[in-house]
Amino acid sequence: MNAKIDPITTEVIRNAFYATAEDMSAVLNRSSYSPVIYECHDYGVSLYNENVELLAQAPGTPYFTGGLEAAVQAVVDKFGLENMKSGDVFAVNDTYMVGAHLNDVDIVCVYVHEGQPVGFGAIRAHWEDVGAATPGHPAGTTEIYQEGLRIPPVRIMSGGELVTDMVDLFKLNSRTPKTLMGDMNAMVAAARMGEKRFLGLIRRFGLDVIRQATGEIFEATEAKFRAFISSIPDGVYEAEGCNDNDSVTDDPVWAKVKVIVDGDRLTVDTTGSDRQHDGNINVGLPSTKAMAKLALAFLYPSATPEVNHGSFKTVDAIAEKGSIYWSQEPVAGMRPVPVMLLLDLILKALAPAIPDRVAAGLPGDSWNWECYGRNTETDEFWLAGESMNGGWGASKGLDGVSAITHSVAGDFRNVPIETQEARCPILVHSLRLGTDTGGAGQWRGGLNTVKEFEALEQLNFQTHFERTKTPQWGLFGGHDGAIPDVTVYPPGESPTSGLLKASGIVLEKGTRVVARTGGGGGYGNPLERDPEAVLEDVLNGYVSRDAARSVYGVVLSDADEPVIDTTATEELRRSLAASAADSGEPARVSAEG
Amino acid sequence: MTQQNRLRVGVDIGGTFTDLVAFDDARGGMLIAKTPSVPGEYSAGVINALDEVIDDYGEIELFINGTTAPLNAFLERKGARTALITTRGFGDVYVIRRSNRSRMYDLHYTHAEPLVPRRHTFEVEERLNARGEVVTPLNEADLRKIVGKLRQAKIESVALCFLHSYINPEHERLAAEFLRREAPEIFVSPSYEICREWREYERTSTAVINAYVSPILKNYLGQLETALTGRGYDDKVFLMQSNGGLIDSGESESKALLTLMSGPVGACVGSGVLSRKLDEPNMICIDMGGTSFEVSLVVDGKESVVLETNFEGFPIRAPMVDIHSVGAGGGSIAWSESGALRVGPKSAGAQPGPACYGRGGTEPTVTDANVVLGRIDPDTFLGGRMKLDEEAARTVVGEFARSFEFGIEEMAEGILNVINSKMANAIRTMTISKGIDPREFSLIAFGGAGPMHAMLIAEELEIGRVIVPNVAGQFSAWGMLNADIRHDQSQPINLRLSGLDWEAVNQGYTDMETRLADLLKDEGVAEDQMRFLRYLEMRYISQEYTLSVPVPDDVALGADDAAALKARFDELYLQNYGHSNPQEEAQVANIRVEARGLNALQDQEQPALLADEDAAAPDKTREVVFAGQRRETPFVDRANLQQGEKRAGPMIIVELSCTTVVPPDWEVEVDAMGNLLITKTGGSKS
Repeated sequence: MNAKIDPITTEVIRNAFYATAEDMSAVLNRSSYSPVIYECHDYGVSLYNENVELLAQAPGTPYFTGGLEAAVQAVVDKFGLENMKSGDVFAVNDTYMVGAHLNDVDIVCVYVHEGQPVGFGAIRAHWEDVGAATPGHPAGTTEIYQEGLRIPPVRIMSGGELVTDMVDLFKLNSRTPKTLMGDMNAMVAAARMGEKRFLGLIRRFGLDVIRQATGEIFEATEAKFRAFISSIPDGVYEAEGCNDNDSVTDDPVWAKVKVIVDGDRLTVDTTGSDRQHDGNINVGLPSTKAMAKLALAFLYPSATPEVNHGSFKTVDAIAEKGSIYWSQEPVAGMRPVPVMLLLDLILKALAPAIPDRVAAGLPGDSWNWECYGRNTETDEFWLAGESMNGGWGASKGLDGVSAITHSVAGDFRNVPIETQEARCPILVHSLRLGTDTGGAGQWRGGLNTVKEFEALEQLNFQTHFERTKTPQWGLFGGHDGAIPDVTVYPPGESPTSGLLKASGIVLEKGTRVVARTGGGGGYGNPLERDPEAVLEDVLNGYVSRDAARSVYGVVLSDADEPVIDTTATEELRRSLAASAADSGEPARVSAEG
Repeated sequence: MTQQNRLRVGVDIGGTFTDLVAFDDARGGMLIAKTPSVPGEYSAGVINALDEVIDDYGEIELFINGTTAPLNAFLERKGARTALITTRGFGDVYVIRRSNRSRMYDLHYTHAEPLVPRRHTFEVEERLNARGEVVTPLNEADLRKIVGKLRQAKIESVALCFLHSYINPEHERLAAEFLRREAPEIFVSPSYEICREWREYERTSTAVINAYVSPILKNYLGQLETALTGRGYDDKVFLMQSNGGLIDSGESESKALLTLMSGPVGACVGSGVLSRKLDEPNMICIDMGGTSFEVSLVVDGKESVVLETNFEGFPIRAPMVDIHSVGAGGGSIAWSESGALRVGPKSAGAQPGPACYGRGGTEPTVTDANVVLGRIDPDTFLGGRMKLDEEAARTVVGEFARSFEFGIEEMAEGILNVINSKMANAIRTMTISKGIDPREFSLIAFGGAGPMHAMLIAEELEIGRVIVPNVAGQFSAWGMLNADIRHDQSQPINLRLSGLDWEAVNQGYTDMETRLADLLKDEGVAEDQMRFLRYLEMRYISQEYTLSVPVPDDVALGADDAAALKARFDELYLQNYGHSNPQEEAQVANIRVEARGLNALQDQEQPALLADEDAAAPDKTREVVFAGQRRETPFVDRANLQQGEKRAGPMIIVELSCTTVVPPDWEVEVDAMGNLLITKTGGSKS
């Protein structure tokens, strides 16, 4: 290595790495075919050097942080760097290799400078359909073969020419081949834009300078992250919780987490978590490792932390082979709920160590429902549905945001009612924030969403709603958030509730469905919440008057525009605190949306 | 137009300065002025600027204004006390938003504070279905109760947004009528009057912003018109709209949303005008101020317009000139982190400002770096109105340089390299997202610091031609003077192309054009200056966003045209997104008419600046650093440059509130309009 390179050049190169990832992302956004990519931003875009070390990534889905690395590594392991040439592009989606469900497909493009591989552009995006037992997210699967086409690392472009044999195979295995092609082409175009920019940068500065700058960028980032981990008191921190079931039996699926902080190293150990299940609740090891990284990025004291190879050098995750966190063939793995729980449990475990940084229970599922049927006039098959949103966990000094996308999604948008009603024969009666569904606390958890709709003709209906057995927990005396539910009201019949992971349900015309998601956990003792904030919540309808009194101990006048009775409030809070101390249980109010 | 009426005046109110450009027909030239803005009483700043150049207000023929009043009220949260009325069951749509988190790693994410708190959201019984048919009629008794609550809460302004009103506005119309009758003191903004597009959150947000700022605009216009009338001007006031066209102020009072970007848009319009005059169809337009760097595009001679913008965390669904803002400016601070160099996005702003402002700034900024390199003459900054403290700049940059073991000038050039490459990256990403190669564009630079960095940014982007327009420091005001009057009107259709009722479509166009012609006539536009551009707004069946497909404005359309229109749509789609899907059916979302009252100035020769010859500073030379070398460099007052003159860099061209840095290997030529055309003559990247 030569002498230290000057910081001006290093900074210009660092910004250029980010701009390269942003440019790839801009191409993908502009030319992808599916709304799930260009509208919901369900993708990850990353730039690596030839050692598969992350140089930069563009904003997208946080779940994909770190997971893409496994895809690039799998490609390198299979083909070997020495066998790659300019214009080679690869695809891979196998859950056991890359961690995610089969709909998340990775495209990896090798960047070659003067005959030598010098880097990779990698993109993971959600493909609408890769073939599965039923369209959408099939519930009740017991083998990965029921979940779609498994793609090992394969070449889809060789020296800039599409390998049509391979692409034909993808198309034949999808219910939506046209969309698949559109999205795949957009991903390839994006990766090749990255190639143009990255190789241009190497030509401008020279490979040696780029490599030296890369080293310095990693070092500076690593120093910051090591310093942050060092600031966390050493110790072994534990937490556990369960997912509701594996959709095959109703047995809970347990996750156990030990977070070991040792100087500037942080290790997440999932040993003791359940063995892999028959149902679709298992994940590949790369996703488990990704959660340790994501947790650190969440906890790092900046809203926009710098994420590159240097960020996570001293972070790792451990799982037992054959457990839900390192599943083995051929178990199913369609749903990522165990990693959402894992992410959350890492934060919970660390709560005593860094109480100011953590948040109470986060939205723990994407709460999906889908309808499908055939158009009564054209007989065309249609499928419509949505991911619903819940309450974010409160943190020190901050109420959780209401009705927000789950923890491992990011810029993911909901479906407008006007669009939904135009495409799907339902009439939505209401979409509301559920009063009292945010966990009470000195800082309140975010509220859930409650949607009520009616079938305008006979429909097929399926759901996937999680986290009733381990609600989004409160921290430091804060209460848990409300738990999710789906209740169906057939006309003239008695309703059925708890339809959380249902499939094959037929909704007759006129049937009403009420779907509720989870509320965010509260932080701190609700009796210590600023009475003015409680009043504001009552005025806004976020908290009921009953809960204001019984849970928060705030006494309000009966007027339309109530005011706080300060003396009565102090008195009530004292007595509620005393009775809580007697019973050892905080006061509760039932959460009904 | 009488003999006396000879002045056409454009005034652009910015956050800091109010700029004026006037075309004086009698003297055949152009006048300029720059005065400090008066926050809270912007009309006073306008009058101050007018007073600098105008003795007799009776001489004003046309008055055009770019106002910042609605924008500032929005940014500072000083808008009207606003409520929202929605369909029963959907009062939470506005606070739920689209449920996304824009910062993926932010564990402590919060949304921008809503303009209407949930407790000022009221629900009324009514419902339409997705076809616009009435499911539940509007319940007037609900509305009556709400009026009482609005009064109790001292509400000044109300936004109305009902589900599916974009396709059938009847319930919104009835409710607005009821409120205007029963509570005439409250401003009412029904969503259909401002936006007829689906997606209820975006439409609600648009109507809410309109309700929030319209009373502010009305108040400002009242003050302005009183002041102008008192001084002898009682004709119309035109406002610059975000879409790049002008609107009569009376017409704009209930649609303040349309004037939100009133100020900066003038410069984009000006760029479009120059693009056509100079026969440079494609331009990247850059404006650099103290805290932000703004980029817009002119493509094929037209300002690039977007139909939806996310502004300060809120969507706005209305056509707006597409302006990207990046956190990089003269005040951007250079700092170090774990031994690495960073520049921006943190800014010293106007207070304390860069160290060289001598207001207590202690951190090195981009402006300080320019001073250290000699590129800014401390004595002539802002026309000499503000003396810069060169020593202070040298001290902060020098200290910073020592921490990196750099020489002071090496450090200063390094700071500029980092910020220039950042701005170039931002431009490149913006062009790529539109499928454009920046190398095929020329760069046009204006605003205080744009021309100081333009050539260096151009080198990064491999652009060889830069234009610094005449009056670059007041270019927005210049642009407004050249703008057309513009109105858009659309009517929802929501039918497959194959199932269109063509007779209704043709009738729709004719009806809209009749209404728009009346509007233009009221604004004083002669019939032969009216233009009506027709569009079909189309999308593929499965998709959400539309593209505007131009259709002939003088022939009736019929089923025979469907195939050609579909092909045109596929082609536009390919251009915009890099792929198309000719097999898939298209849907017509709306028919739209863009009405223009043409601005005759665009076809005329542009007047030259009536400069006070004596006031021009004599030329001098100073040492300026370029690529590590000190070079004796001429500082030339722009007024001293002659038309047709060609000079080689290095050279610094100084004018009121704007400095142009021409590096070595660039050559500057002054065209007949007084624009600087600067071209790369050779050499490698600096």
